[in-house]
Amino acid sequence: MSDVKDQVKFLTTIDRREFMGLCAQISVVLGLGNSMVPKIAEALEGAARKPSIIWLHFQECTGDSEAFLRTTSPSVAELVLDILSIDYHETIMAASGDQAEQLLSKTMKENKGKYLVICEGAIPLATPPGPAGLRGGYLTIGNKTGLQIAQEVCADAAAVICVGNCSSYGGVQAQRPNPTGAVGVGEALGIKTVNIPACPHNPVNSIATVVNYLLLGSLPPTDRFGRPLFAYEGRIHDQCTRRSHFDAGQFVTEWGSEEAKKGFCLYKMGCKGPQTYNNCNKARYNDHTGWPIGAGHGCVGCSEPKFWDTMSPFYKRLEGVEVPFGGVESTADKVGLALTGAAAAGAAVHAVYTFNKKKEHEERIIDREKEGK
Amino acid sequence: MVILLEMVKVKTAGVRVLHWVIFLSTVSLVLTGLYIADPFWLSGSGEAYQTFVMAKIRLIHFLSAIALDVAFLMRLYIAFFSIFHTDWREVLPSPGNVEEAWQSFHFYWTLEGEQRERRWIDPFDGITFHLLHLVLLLQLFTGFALYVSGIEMVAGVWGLWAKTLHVATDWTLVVFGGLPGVRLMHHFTLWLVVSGAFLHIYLQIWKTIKLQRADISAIINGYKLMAVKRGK
Ligand code: HEM
Ligand code: HEM
Ligand code: SF4
Ligand code: SF4
Repeated sequence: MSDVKDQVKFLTTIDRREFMGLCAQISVVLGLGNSMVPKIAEALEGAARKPSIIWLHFQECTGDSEAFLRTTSPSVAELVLDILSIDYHETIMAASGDQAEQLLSKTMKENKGKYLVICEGAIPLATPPGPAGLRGGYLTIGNKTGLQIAQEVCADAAAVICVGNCSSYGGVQAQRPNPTGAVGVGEALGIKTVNIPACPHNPVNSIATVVNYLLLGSLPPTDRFGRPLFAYEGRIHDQCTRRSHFDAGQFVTEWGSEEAKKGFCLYKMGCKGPQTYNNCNKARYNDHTGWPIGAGHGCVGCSEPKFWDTMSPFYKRLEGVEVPFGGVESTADKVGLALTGAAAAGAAVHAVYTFNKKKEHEERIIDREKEGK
Repeated sequence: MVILLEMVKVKTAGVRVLHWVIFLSTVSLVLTGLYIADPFWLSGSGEAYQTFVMAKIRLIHFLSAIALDVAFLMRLYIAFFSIFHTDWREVLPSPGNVEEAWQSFHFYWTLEGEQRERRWIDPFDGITFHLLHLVLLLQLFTGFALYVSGIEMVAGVWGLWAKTLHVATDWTLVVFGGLPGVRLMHHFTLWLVVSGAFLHIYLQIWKTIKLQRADISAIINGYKLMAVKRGK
């Protein structure tokens, strides 16, 4: 193993304090108490059980690797690369070309059935035009399609963890009309994956998932979108720092306004917090210093499947409904008002017509009283 | 044609009260729903704890929703088990009902021929009530899906309530494409409720004036007029 390790560039040691700090942080994210911190440290240090990790890149922007490497007091990246054994990671490993591919097959062979795969990026399934067209051919690495690589590597994995919205659900490249047929890894392979979506994902959550696996030997319980409940059970809106302004009816209506400076609720600016499950309101990004809504921008729902389609336009409250005729994008209100207007117009026409026309069989009504009954 | 009319009892007090509970709660839901969708009246820039506009409007929305749903379920029960008159058959779109409803529709627009006199809900009304009920049911399910989306940490009785709601409403997430779709549907259905209720009210007023059978009085004091004797 040591020759493998030598090839990983970022191997540094960290001091004990930083290490225990990270363990405490993970304990909080997992919802465990202080008493679990030593256990977490033990799990992370237990060299015997240190899993080999293969990090695969597909259609992506490397944002999740960036987030992973650049986070938290002082250097989760160093720590994690030291504690976990990240044996294959195209962006950060020193090896390249054939050497890298050999490393991959070696890691897979040596750790068959035991290694963890972390996926970043979506897998295209469409076939490009042309004679050489090949299913999934919009992404090839070393003459293999992303789909083939994923199938080969994930087949013998102990678990597959998807970080970022792209590998979880397809991300931006799966947005309508999705020219490359991009889908998430779980969907592409028809397997169950643990998904840590967001754009980018919060490394605290992926590390916590790995720790959960090390501690208990199993993956954390997830919701119906494969997201670990410890991180994705709560809605942004319900733990938002601006929630009191929502309840008070204090809303930002213009960027850069006095209300925006006062930190009012961003609901009217299209904030999707009420539709989004994530823990960035609690765990936060960048050394726990900030998160989008804290920084003054509405939530765009980046941890939800197909958020580019379902949450856009990002700066409006509800998406437009596509009206089948004419292909115009209209809003629910326009269609609804048109419908109500049509009902009112129909009633008006009906009233004018029928009140000017006599019934065919006009009735003469005899008063009950007069009849003497 | 000379006819003799008589007041006949058509609706019990319970049905009438429920009707107006449904009416009032729907009006309240539409108004508060529009506010939730676009909070047009903003509170000033004082401290947040001093005003509570959105929270209060949402509370009224939920309370009205509970009132609507309870009244709705009670009305449903009465439709099947009333000791006065069970009327569930009249709102079902059975072939006979559809045909007669179509004849009524024709009559409402041309005033030609005669409409068959009905003591209970006539088939045309019956079908509109059927649709109106489906629309209200849709609001019920999408509304509770939105409601339960904010409940976390499920334990105890509260958890049981949340779990029940999840079982009852999670299908809306699948059908309408997640919470954004459910929200959009809930919002859009407001307009179905508004236009449906508008047509219903228009028709009842029109019938009352044009057909001279005091239809509106049926839902107020329970009696409407029916022909008991016809002559030339
Ligand atoms: C949101 C508004 C309303 C809704 C959702 C609504 C709904 C209903 C429903 C479901 C029924 C049939 C079930 C029953 O007998 O209880 C009904 C009957 C009736 N409603 Fe309404 N209603 C509304 C407003 C009104 C208003 C404002 C009027 C008065 C102008 C009215 C007049 C009537 C009458 C006369 C009937 C009896 C029809 C019959 O038995 O054939 N409704 N309504
Ligand atoms: C006539 C029936 C109803 C109408 C017209 C109505 C209308 C609306 C509208 C327009 C919204 C705003 C949607 C948006 O733009 O985001 C809304 C929100 C909502 N409604 Fe209803 N609604 C009705 C019944 C119900 C029912 C039966 C429930 C059940 C609990 C319910 C629960 C909710 C909830 C939870 C919200 C979201 C509030 C928030 O997240 O702040 N509604 N409603
Ligand atoms: S999820 Fe976001 S950050 Fe991650 S690869 Fe996709 S676009 Fe980039
Ligand atoms: S800013 Fe967004 S998430 Fe926060 S309270 Fe307002 S609507 Fe909810």
